[in-house]
Amino acid sequence: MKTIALCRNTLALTLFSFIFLLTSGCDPYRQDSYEEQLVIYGMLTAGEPFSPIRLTRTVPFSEAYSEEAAALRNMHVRVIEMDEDGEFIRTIQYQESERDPGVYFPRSRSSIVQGRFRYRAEVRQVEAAELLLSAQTIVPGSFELVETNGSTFIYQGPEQYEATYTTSFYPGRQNYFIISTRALNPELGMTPFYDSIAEEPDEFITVSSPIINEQNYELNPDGTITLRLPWISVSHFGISAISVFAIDTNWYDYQRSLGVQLGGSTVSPGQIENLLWNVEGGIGVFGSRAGVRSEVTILSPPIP
Amino acid sequence: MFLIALLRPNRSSRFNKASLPVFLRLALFIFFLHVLPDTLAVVSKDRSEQSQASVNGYITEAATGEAIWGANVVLEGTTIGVSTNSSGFYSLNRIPPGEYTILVSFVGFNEFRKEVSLSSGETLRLNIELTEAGLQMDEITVTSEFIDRESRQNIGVTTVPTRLIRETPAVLQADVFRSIQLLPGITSASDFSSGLYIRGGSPDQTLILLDNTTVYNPSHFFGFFSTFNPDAIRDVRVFKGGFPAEYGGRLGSVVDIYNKDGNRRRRAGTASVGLLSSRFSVEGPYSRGSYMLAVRRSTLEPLLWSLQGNVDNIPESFYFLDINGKLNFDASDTDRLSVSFYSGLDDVVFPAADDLLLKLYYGNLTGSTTWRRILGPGLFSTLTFTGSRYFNEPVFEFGGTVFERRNTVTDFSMKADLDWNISSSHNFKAGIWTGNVEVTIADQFDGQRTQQSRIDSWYFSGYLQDRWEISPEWIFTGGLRGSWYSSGDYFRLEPRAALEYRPHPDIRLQTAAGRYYQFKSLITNEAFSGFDIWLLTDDGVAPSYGDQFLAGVKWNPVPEWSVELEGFYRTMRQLFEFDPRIPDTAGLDYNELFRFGRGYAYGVELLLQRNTGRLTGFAGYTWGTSRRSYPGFNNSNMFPPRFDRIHDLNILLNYSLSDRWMATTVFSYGTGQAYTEPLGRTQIRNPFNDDNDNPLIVGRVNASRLPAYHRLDIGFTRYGRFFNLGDSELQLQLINVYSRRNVWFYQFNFDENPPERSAVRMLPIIPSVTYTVNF
Repeated sequence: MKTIALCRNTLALTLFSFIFLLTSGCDPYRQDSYEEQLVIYGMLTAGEPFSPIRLTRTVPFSEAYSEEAAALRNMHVRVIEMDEDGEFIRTIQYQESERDPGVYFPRSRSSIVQGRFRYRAEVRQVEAAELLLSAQTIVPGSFELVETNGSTFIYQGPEQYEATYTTSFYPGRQNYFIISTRALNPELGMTPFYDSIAEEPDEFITVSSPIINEQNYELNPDGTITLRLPWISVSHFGISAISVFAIDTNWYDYQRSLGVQLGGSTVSPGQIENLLWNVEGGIGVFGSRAGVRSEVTILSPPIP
Repeated sequence: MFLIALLRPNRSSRFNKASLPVFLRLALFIFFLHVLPDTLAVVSKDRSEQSQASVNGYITEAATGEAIWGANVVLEGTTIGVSTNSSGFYSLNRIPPGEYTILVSFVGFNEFRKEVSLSSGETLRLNIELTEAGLQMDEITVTSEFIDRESRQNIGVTTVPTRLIRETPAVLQADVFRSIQLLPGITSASDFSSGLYIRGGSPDQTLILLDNTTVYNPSHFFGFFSTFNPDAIRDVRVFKGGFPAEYGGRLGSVVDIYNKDGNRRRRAGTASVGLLSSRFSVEGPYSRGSYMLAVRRSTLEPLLWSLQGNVDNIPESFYFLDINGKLNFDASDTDRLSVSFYSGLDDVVFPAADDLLLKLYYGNLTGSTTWRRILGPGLFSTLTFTGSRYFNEPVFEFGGTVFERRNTVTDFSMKADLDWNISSSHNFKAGIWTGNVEVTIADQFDGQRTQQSRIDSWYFSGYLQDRWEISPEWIFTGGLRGSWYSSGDYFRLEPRAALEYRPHPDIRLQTAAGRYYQFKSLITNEAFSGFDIWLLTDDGVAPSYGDQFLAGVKWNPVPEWSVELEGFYRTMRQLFEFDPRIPDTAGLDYNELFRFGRGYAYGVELLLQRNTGRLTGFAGYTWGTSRRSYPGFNNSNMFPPRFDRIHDLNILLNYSLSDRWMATTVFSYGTGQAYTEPLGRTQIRNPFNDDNDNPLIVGRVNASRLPAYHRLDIGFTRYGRFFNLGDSELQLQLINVYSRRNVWFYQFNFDENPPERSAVRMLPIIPSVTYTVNF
């Protein structure tokens, strides 16, 4: 009988503890609150003049976003150019646009971005030494179009557009590509797939591929690679500009983490993670790319 | 000790590939041990035993001849007693000669008593048939089998009777996993998912076995239903945690399912028509055994045909199919052979838009051949050869570009288990599981091969386990399992221990601890299981591991009621998951495909059950917490996975209205699932497509909670006759009676400024009608 009483007491104590847990149990993992962050955006392209840099602030999710209202004004912006080995070459000073608040243009429009070089963007408050934002990019090595298999093709015909390129270079990793297609004659109409999903007539003028690893393509014996344009990259009939870009690590990190935030294939719905921002002092992308552009004409297939 | 000696020839915890022959030698040893009973007779029968007696045999249902797993067999007035194994076999040994009363009990069945006289050295074969209790009771007294009391002897273990599965209101059709989800400690991700999230673990942390064969993708309808046809299933046993050394290969839990053997008394069958699918099964005896064949096929075609042309986005074709079969052959008094197979697939053709066609084709094929043998007094062996193949072959045709994937998992294995009742206080088990698993993935995009990988791994695991009844009050179960995978050359040891104290016949205090390893990882999506991909450990990708600690009490204060209280804490380390931030795998080393994380989970579960009377049922409540962490995610801090539920309550009640009508109701309540609340936003001009990207700024991942989940389902079953051809059951069910539109997740419309948030909701009220004829 003593054993039974002991057990009952034990059970009562256990049940009491259990009820205490229920009533007092709270989730210590609580939602934190919004904190404003500074945002930098710039995209350098090898062989082209320096692109503008946009500085903004983040806004609370529940508020309307306006580039003008979010603009970060009166900043001192400069980009430091370094060679492949990181040796300083020169500084490119930027100044804010009078028309577009928060948009900063290089003072010298003749400077050209060099492939394989490193560029470091720095943002300070005017008259202040403290560095607010900084980010660095390594520009992918420039590459060239060697040849194509033609310039005019029938949509979903037996032959697809193929272009052969020299290879780009990026230190420490394989090249990552994005293919961008821009319709130059959108008035000729969309291809059936895009036509069925478009909500506005001017949608899909420019479409881009996801990130494609260089290892997806076979290396030709002469060291070049040949890319075949999938039909899904063609949104309109007529002439399209086909641009193949090698991208830097900053854009690679941005785009791959954005893909996860938009609902990556293995992430539970509703689980959102911050993006990979390679920016000190804030967020944003100071990225770079090297690209080659060609044109191709896509004809509507003959009606049987 | 012999096994241990064989397992450590290199005196190293890390085996090299040259060690494989050692494992093969061990496999051959176990095989011959199984084949040569004389060998075992020497092992199992020492001199002192020759002056004692033993009783063994099979315990089966009288009506069908199906084996009963977990029935208690005792000699009244003694401490000698055992439970039957999954084959229904029992063995009582080292019994002094004399007169005894053998008592067999199992919830839902009448107790069986028989007086036996045992002489010195005698081995009595006593096969026993139990009759269902309900058949001999008056209409008021109903014995439930909701959660079998006998099988709850072990901590963390629950048996789910097929009756519960058939009678529980379920969306469109009865479902094994949906019923399992009602147990405390087990949650579902959503109304749309039959995946089992057990004690803070993801579905891939649960080993699913069908007739001892691993089933890699146990789902239909993109995860909506499990693949197991209730008509074909005999036993479902769930090890929620702390499972013994005889099981392994997963971090968290085991669902061990057995197909029916087939009715050994008469030819019988079932025909069932439902809104989603129809089922047909037939079973019966033949001169040397029994057979069973069950087929289930979706019957959506009439609905699809009526909708096509009138409603957008209707699949062109869509069906799923399951075929279960089993053939038993009683070769001799001591030998039983069975061949079992399962085949299931989903086939969908879905033209989602012009020039956009989705084709999904995935499924499982499993087969096993089992040889059960009584090797000697108290010694039972099982030898099983298994084969399992999972295939997944989606095709997407969009805008003239075709993406094709072929993913397969092919697993052939041999299992050998020995179950030896050495004495009245020791039950010793040992076994091996060895085989080869091959995982292939081949992707083709626009006619070009973009990915092709094949990982082939030999595996071996062996275990030793002893259940030691120290005294009538104290029982200790200890075990050690060793597992080796050739991919990556990993060998791991997994100690397990459980202790039980019975201060009173109706009270059991239990605790258990163990280490667990997992050599496989699943790429899946909570919302859609049609593209599941399994991956293996390999160089640079070490197996996941975790420790489990359990403690609980089981109490039967009165015959009508039982109470269980169980607490658990478990760790998860080296969780290798496919890194969701990898956009393209081409050219990456295998170990670069993964992110490696850790986690933990703890909780307390309470189960109250009323077993007899007009009103029967159970209430299960869980208070729990689960956390994960991955470097570089959520600032490398711990976060709750979406399926983390602080409070989870399920109440299932059955009320016998009359001998012809039964009412069933299920109420579920759960804390809203974790989600991430966007705090801020910015805009980035995408230079590659001229669109504005809208990156969100978030704080802690999954730090907010959706509104609480709750739902009430009711069902009525009318028992009758179908034109004197057989018994019939008409089930009328209403799912989500008050049409609570529980939130699945939020989505955001960035065309509006500020963005608009809208809720994607789960199931509304759904009626369901099923008519079943048992002939």
